[in-house]
Amino acid sequence: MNKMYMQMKWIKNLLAVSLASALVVACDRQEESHEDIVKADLLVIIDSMGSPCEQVIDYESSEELAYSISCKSGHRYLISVNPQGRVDIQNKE
Amino acid sequence: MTGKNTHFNVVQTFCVLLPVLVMFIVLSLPVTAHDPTMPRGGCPPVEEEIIDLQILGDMLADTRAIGLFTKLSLKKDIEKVLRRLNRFHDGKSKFTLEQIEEQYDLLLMKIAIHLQDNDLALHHHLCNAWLVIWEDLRDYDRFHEHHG
Repeated sequence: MNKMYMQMKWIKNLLAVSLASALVVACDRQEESHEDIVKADLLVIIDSMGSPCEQVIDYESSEELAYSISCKSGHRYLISVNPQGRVDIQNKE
Repeated sequence: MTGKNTHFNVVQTFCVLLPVLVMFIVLSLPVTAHDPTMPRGGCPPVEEEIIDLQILGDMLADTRAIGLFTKLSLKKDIEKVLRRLNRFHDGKSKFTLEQIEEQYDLLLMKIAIHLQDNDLALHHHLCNAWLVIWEDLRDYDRFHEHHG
């Protein structure tokens, strides 16, 4: 009885690990779209600069290394990189 | 007749001088920021240039300008970009090279934010390495030489 219980427990653990591994592999394969990656990175940049945003809902790359961004919070920003490699953020009216 | 000869000489001289002038103007134009051998426009000079994303990653690990969790997050982001480039060079990527370049630029922007006010020396390195590293990554042979 005790042996059977141990076997059942072992099979249950094995199934749980297999299921978890399958989920991890499936999530890894389902990579985000380019647009989602850009939006997530822009949100990290805005957050790191201490500006409120919540979520990037739309963006437009106006020129090289310059983005015009609309946030869920209603804020709009212009993020750009100057020739010295410095990242600047400006509020847009 | 003399007037006609003079007119002919002027035209001939003009035809010779014009291409020389055009060549001179073209050669004297400044090199654009896209030239991979040159740093971005106004980057402050550095003694030794970083030419590899892994070296940049190692230098980031040593800086005090970035907290531990941000370092781990940036390390993961660097690995993601390298993985996407690896897939691209193997012909298995769903992203175009232009899209991966944009993702690379955003990664460097995320790094630059943390350095620009807290570690100027490393920020200058980053600025100078921005294009150099990308040229290294986009090239199939150089990518596999450094990251294969």
